[in-house]
Amino acid sequence: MSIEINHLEHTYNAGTPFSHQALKGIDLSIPEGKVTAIIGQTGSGKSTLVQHLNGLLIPSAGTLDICGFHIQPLLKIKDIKQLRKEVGLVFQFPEYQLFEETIEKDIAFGPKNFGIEEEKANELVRKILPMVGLDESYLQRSPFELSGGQKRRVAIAGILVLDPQVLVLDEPTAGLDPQGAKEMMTLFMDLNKKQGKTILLVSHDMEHVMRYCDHVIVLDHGKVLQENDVRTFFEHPEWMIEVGINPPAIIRLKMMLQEKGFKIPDSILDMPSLVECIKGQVNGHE
Amino acid sequence: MDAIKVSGLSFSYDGKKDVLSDVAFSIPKGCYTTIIGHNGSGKSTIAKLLIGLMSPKQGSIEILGQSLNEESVYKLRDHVGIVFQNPDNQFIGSTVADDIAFGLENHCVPQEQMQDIIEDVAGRVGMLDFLNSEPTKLSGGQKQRVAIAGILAIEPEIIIFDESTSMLDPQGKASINEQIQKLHSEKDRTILSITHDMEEVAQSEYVIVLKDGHVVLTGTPMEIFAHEKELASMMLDIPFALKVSKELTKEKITNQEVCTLEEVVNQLCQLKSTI
Repeated sequence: MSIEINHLEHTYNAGTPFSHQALKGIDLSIPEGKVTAIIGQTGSGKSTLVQHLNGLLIPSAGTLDICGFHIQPLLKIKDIKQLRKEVGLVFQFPEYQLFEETIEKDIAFGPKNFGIEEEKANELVRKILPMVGLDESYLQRSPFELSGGQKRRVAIAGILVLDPQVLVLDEPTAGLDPQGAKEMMTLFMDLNKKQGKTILLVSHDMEHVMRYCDHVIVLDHGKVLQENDVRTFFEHPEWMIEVGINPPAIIRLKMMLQEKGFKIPDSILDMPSLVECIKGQVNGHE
Repeated sequence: MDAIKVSGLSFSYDGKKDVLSDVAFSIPKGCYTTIIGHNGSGKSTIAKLLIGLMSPKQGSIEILGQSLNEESVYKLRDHVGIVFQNPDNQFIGSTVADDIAFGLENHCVPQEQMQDIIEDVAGRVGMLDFLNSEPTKLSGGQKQRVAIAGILAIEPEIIIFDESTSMLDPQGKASINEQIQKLHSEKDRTILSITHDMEEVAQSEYVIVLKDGHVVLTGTPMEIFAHEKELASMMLDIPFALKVSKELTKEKITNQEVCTLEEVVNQLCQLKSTI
């Protein structure tokens, strides 16, 4: 079931002098089983939007349908716990949310909160650990003695252990080194490809969006500026420039060459095709 | 003269395991150097030693020809500035303007000049509208911009950036990197930048590669990138521009590998004009 968002608006501190409309009428249909990127500059409303998906924020106007839940203003969501189980939300820098004495307890916190008995919860923890690249030797260690990247894996395991249908990730690779970022993205792609989970990814990293995502949504000042499949989106670099997003290196190179009079079709998005295209337009060195 | 000269440098946090061992390098004045290495390789430890926040277990550090020790550290800090990875660790003022002013006050800059400098540097990092904001209320990226403005205001002889743009979006990162470039090219400052961004490494003049507390490679970006396999074993990738350039030379389109997009475009333009 896709996620349907209709005329969604959100105003913070409504009715006060600090009132601020962060979302101004969002209409979206987010496909099931796909990886969708949400991009846009700081302050464009990305985080506000994703916090509606598991009922952390309730719309000021409009409606949201997700995993069989219908969310609308002023209506208390029935069984909101179930919604939060179905839609796993991983905040930016989730490692700051670790709090337990041991990694086992930290990951088991979610399932136990949902009424699962301790023994069963610990069993789930053992199943989830290898998925985030950690083994059982970590179970009794304190999460606070881990490196930044490992901490983040533990925090993400705490969400995955609930087996959500939809996984919402707010800049999951920010601050990681390139290898850590790559491993993290590989994990999410596995969850999508092997388990069919719907993934929403808030990201500033256009290289990741281009490589891993199927679908792109661009927010700008609380509105949807673009909604496209990833190919169409990257074939139009001017859209990125318009909202102040730095395009991936290959597209920057393509634009620089086009400016110098090279004829490079917009449809070229990979290196071999680009090299082939250039080859026909220069005299080779012998 | 060398801006920084380090020899036989070792350091340990717990007295048992050395996080740096026998590190040696020298950086000429006015040079733009980058330090790369995996997480935990000792990069940030070097930065902290260079500004005298900690003392080495063994070895010596010379800044602008003078030995860095307990007596010289306060004098030498006039010449060395640092922007930390986490800007929360270096805020002092109650407003953005106050915070930028702090360094100027310490350098005895006359009050009448201060306002102009503060507005100028805040503008250069895109924070002019936030001069009266509380630093703690800013986003991570905005805090990093303020910390960088503080350094731009002083323009010390040697400036160390410790992953100072990690919280910025790509566009913010590009604009800050431009400011760093300018400090180097227009003001002739010595820049030492700790980074994961291979595009920035390609722009620098000299690269130091750290692995498990040892210096394993030094040289120009192209010299470093030639060790592609070794870099890969340290989980470091070569920049996209060089990948394209390698492909172009393999196809015999160009005859020299380069590592920035500008250089690739220049090469191709020259070939095109000969048609």
